[in-house]
Amino acid sequence: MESSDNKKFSVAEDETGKGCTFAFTGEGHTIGNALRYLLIKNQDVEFCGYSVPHPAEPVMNIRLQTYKNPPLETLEASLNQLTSVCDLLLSKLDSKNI
Amino acid sequence: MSEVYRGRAPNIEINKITREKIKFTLSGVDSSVANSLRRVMIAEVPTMAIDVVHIHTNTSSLHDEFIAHRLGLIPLISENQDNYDFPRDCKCTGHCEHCAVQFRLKVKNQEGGVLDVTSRDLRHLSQQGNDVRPADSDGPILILKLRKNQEIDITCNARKGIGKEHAKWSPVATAVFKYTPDIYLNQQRLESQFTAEERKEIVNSCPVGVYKLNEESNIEVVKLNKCMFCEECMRKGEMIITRSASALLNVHDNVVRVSQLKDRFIFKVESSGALKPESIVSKAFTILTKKLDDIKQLIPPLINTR
Repeated sequence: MESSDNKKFSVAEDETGKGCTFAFTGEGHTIGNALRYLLIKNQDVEFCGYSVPHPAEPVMNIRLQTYKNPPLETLEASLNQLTSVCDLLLSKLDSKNI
Repeated sequence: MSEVYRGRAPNIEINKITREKIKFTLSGVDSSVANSLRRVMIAEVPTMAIDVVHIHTNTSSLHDEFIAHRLGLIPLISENQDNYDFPRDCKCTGHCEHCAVQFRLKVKNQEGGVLDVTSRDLRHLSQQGNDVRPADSDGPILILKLRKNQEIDITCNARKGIGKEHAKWSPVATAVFKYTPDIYLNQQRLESQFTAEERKEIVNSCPVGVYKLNEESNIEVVKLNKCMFCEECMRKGEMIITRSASALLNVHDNVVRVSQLKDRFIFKVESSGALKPESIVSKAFTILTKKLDDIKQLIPPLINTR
């Protein structure tokens, strides 16, 4: 069983500095597919794909290649984007749920 | 956000809430985001469920594991689950009042006949934890039956967990979404080229009753959200057109068209009884945000070291 403290995140960077493979431990399709969608909508992203290499292992990979900005910062921006969508929807839900 | 969603801001509208069900429309987001929400509701919203079972006496006709499994599947009201810790996060060894609620099930059939043992026979072992109790607003939940002189004596701990580990912790019975249907009717052609009888055929072709004939015997969409995209109405319309030779030229311009709005999702969430349906949805958003925050906290150290 995954616990909250064994969440891990690692980065494998290309020599160019414009390509990265991120490995998320303890995440899966839930976050992977949503992030992939947000990233490919970004104009600066050349390529983005995600995979869960094996269903029995709690690891999810995101491959990200950008034109200009560092991939790590691009990823962080997409995380913020998804958070703001969640916050917005939650506040809309709460305002209707009296 | 506007770049991402092309001007349509994310929105959520509640269509219907009952005690055990919620229907809502999520719009302005991609299907991947809608799917994240669905997946979190099924597998990552925590509830309480019976997890550790000690069987002291069991002379019933069911074996121990079977009873333990049935106890686990009883939905427990978990609105106050925030007051409890996950067993792995609790500092205690074994169990304590911060991570477990203890129950006792002690029944003996002394009267003869068949005695039903239900979720209402589960008693709290201590005063604490009365907020966690079997969800039996639809009547008691049958656990097992006892014949004369058969006896059951069990203590068990309810613990907090998530559906990813075992489905008994999942707060939902169903959590599904579909695209919003978009139905186009070419009323002009339906009136001029179709007889009233043919229009009725189209109405009757729908297995879920999306259409109705109005007073002027024209087709009207009455239950749009019932549509399940079977396209029977489109097929019927095509069939009628090909039947009448005069209209052969217009075969490809169908009179009925059913399509999907791919950024509006109709969600249907049914609760298991552990949580109110509306709190399952809002909890799911909170958990999704928390998952993202957890990842975000791991990123800055990596940026700085490069």
